[in-house]
Amino acid sequence: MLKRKFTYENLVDLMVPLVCILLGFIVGMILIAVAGKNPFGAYFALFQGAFGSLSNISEAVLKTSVLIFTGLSVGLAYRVGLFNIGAEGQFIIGGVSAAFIGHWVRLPAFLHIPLIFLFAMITSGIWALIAGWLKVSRGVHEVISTIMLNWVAYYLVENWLVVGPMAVQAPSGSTISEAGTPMIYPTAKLWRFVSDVPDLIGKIFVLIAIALVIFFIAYYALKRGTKIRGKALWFFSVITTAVVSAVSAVFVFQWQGGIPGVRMNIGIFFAIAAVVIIYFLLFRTVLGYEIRAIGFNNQAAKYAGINVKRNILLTMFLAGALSGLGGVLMVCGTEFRFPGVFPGGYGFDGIAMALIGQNSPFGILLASVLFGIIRGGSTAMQLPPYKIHKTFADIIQGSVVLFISAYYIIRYVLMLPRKRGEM
Amino acid sequence: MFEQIITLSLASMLQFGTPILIAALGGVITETSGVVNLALEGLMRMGGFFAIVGAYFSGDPWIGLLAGIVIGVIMGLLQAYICVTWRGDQIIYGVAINIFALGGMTYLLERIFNTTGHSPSVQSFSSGIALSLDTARWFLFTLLLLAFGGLIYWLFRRMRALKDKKPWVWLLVAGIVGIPSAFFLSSIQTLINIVWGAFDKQTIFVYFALVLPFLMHFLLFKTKWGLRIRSVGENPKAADTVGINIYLIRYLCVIAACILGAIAGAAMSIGQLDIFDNHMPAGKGFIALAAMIFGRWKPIPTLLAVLFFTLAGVAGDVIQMLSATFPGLQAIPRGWLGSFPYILTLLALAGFAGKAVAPAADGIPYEKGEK
Amino acid sequence: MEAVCELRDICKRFPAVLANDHISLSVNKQEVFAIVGENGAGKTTLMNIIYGLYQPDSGQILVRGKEERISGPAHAIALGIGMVHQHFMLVPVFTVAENVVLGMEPTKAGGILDLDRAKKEVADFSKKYGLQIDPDARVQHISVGMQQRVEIIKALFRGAEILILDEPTAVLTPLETEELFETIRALISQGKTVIFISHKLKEVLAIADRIAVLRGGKVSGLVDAKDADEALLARMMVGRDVVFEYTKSPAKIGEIALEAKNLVAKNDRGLEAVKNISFQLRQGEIIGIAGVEGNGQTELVEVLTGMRSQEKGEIYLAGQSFTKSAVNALRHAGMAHIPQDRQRTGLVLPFNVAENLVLGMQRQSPFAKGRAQNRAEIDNFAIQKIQEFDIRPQATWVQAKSLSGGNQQKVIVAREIATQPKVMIASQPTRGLDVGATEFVHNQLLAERDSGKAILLFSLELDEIMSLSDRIMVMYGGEIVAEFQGGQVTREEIGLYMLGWKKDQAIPGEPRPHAQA
Repeated sequence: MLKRKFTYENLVDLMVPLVCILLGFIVGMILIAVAGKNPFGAYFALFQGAFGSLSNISEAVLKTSVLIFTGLSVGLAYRVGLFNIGAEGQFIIGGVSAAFIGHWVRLPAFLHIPLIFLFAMITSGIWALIAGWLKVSRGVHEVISTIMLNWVAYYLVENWLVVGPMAVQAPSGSTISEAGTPMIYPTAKLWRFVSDVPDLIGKIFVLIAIALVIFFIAYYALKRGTKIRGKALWFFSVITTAVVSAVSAVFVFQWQGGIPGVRMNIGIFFAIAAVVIIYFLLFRTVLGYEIRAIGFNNQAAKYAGINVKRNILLTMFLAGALSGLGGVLMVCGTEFRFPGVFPGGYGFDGIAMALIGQNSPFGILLASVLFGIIRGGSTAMQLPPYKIHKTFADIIQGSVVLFISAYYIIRYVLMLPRKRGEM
Repeated sequence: MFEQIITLSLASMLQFGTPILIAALGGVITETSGVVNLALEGLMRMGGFFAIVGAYFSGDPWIGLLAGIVIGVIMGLLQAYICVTWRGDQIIYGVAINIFALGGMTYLLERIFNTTGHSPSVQSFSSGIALSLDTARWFLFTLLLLAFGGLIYWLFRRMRALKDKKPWVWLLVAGIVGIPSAFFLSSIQTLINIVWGAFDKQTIFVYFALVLPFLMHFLLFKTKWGLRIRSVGENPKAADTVGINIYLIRYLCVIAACILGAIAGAAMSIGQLDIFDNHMPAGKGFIALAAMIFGRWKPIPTLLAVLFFTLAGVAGDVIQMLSATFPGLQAIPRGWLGSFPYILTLLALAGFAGKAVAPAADGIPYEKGEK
Repeated sequence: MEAVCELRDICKRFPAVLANDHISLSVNKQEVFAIVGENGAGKTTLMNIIYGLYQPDSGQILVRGKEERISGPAHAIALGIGMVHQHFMLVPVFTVAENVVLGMEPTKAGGILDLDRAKKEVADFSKKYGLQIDPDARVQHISVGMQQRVEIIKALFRGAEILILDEPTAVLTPLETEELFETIRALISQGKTVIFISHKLKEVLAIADRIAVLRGGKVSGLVDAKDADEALLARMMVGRDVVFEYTKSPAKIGEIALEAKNLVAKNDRGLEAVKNISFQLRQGEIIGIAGVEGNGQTELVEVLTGMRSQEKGEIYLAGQSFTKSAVNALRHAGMAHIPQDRQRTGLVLPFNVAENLVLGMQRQSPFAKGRAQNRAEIDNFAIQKIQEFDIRPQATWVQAKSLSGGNQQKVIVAREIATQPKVMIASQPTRGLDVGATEFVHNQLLAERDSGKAILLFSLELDEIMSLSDRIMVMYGGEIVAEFQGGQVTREEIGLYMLGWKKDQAIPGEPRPHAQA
């Protein structure tokens, strides 16, 4: 039996997206230079803007966490063979659902946030399901139906709900940027763990969360990395957890002040968890196997007895739910309401994340980190002396995706060294 | 008052529908040759923007139009190179161009005009071509005559008894039936007023858009190049083995489509208006795609499909006009009206898309020597 | 006899294989020159070179004594070389006339198509060469034999003097084949030359003047047809005496495993493709269903496997009745299926070998524990099967798309057998496979039969049907028109039924009541 080899071809497949990113950056440089400004300086400003201070980093993290969700949404749908261009609309639906439950329902925190998550996942899932159902039952191409749904969501939410029934009763004279829905209750807000210090009960919850995460990491790490099994495995996991928790407890209970202005919140942890969950879903479960089979060859999947229609519908629902969660993060983590001017574009950016990340959960994670940094830093690029408009990030992004569509050209070029070797 | 509403609606429809129709026909021609073109939205945006830029710096709207066409040619070459020569993923390319156009034009808008809302006004075509009532009457007459002629021709082809008659038979019948009817109908003042009201001051883009479907139908179904284009889209291998140059045909069709897309965008920016608004084209490129599918990838049904969608598009305006007389209508939230065209598109697709059959090789890149 | 086309030392290499290895041949004017060889021997490559679709790496081509570099089909056509491909190059939605004139369209001023003239010219050609054709018919609606005639007229329309026919009889009934041979004889008498490529030795011996045998990219023999017989040709093709027969152990027939009662089904176009089919398949036997492609076999298979709903009729698997489209239910009840298109419906090519080996079984333990997959078990299973069935390369992680056709088929066969079915439906299981792989699949099917499984074999290859089946049925026009015990019927008789002959009808070739000269 041949052992699995990591061939040059595998390396090339990994490198193509990286090359595309590089080329996209170069295009950006060229455009900046053409505009008469110093490209290296501009990029330096970009990274300064992203990493310069803790609050800058937190802005990048905020963007990354939303991008992860919309990216996973598009990537998951692609795996079953569908283009989810509707991530934007699902994102909006999720956001407004969060704003709704966040303000019109009162619950204690440990119930409020889960309810918001659940409700938003269902509404945005259904939104995506419409396109999925149209595809499965009527053969409607999902690119067009999802785009139509995006616009419907945009009009119904931002031109009706948010300015009509759900609008905040603002005092006269308030500006547009204050329009939108009313603020959500504090119990619905996602915890900003750097700037806000929780009370005693909160600290206990944090410790429990830390303990659980450490336990899982320890368990799986020991299982994968060592030969310890059974009762011994549990024993060592628990010991590790106890030790780490005890140490953490010391710090947690001593924690007094937070750093103001750092908007980073626990949404990022949910996003990373989503990456792991989707990875497991796709590559370790039967459902994931079936999804991938359908995406690669839905005829063969049908012949194998896989219920193609049901799986497509389920996947679209999940995809919609993921984008919706992105919206939840925006509303409950960053804005604390659905503002009149909703930060849009995350849905479309999600498409780019999925393409650049090659539809793999970890690829999407990396792409989202990169573009979170770019978008986070592009605000800084606007300041003098560079004064480059922040839509520059769009150009870089679009260029990268453009190069991705030329995948085979780049792959061909990268494979040339191997070909010459064969001659 | 009804007359007014119909006139204004027609005028709106012509304005709203012209860019969509031109873009949709661009889509028809690429997909007939077997290449998917999702980038119509981006092309409209780029064409519209560069048309404004051209008109701004030269002061001449024709230069603006030329600028738009040039960008169409460039984008067409790029798409053809990546998608035809290199067999790049056509859907991803389309999505990429749309993303790129979105950010790119905003960036350029800001760079060149220092604004993020809309460009300054330029010399444009928006003043349109003025018609006199008399011209309107003759125009109506011609339209009605053509309509009758077309109707009778269509009837002849449908009915087996008449199918094989020589051409002069239906010309005669069309003449006998059509000329007096058209003459009579075109004397009705109301109709003249409506046509005049709808067409007065419309731009050349509108006339272009109305003529284009017929030109394209003629090209695709009555000429030898049309036969070849269709063969490339249906079975490129068959076309290849009779010596047809697949790549050349696809290149030409892709470039033609991109030019049409750019013209469609120009129709919006220097045709309807005299500015480039940063929201352009606001999804019209995708409505164009839907119209193309709804029109089964054929030029004349696409025309009808666009007609259908523009009805939805102007519904909002119509309701606003009617709300003066029926105040109850004012209660309809603006958001609902705005979403109407898109919901209608969805319903139309749901109702009819199942029967639509694209050209057989649509979206499949061609590889020479593939078995 | 002048040489109208000559090849000298033609070589063509592809990344994985040397397709043509110093091939030298000379074709005389007004002869039928046959080229035979197995799949992959290099026949089609050679023809594609003559037609300009490929360029040879080295060697010369001489047409009518002059050396030519044939740059593409257009050039070949200009030189008078026409090709009728194995898979027709026609546009289904176009009419016959449109297909024939494509690329050389008669026009009126300004490029406007002159379809009337096109139709007339097609009619003229068809009369001249005796090829019955309707210029107005849409290609998607006419029979395969007629489509072939369209292809021939296409070539003649372009002034072909040399006609290359690539596996022309692969999709024809015996009657249509005879008609084709008459056409070929007519063409020869009008001064044309025909190059006939086939792997069907009987037909080649019937029509050709001279026969060249290709093996492994080289010319392994060149004979006059009158001096050759099947055995000689087969030996030259394969290099060893080919065994056309398998020694089968006597059938141990058991209970009824699969029963079909009065099945009626429509095809994708809404026409009835399966018209009242009933049969009983028992354990331990192989029923071979013979028939020309397009007589409802595909639809019947789809109905039996649950991929298509029947209009009427019942299916019983091991006594249980199965309602419409129950793919999963049928699989669980013990039905396995080797599909006729392994790449399109049998495998998920981007999946690796292990993943493909569990396709269809992914929900069963031990491959799954509830919702989660057990990758270790899947891997073990894959290793086992790879060794058992000698799948190359021996790796569980290799993508199926990297495997050769034979190995891909082994994966499918291994998988289906592993489900321990009661009934196996094999649909053209050796299509496109070389002799070695074909032998392998046949032996597996026989082994399954010997262990008590019931096998329903659909095939277009009569030899396969005859050598494997215990019972033979012939399908024509959606019905089973004949049934025989294996070994008690001749090829000719099966062939007759395959084209719809019914008892008490005159045998084709003999004077028919309504025949016109």
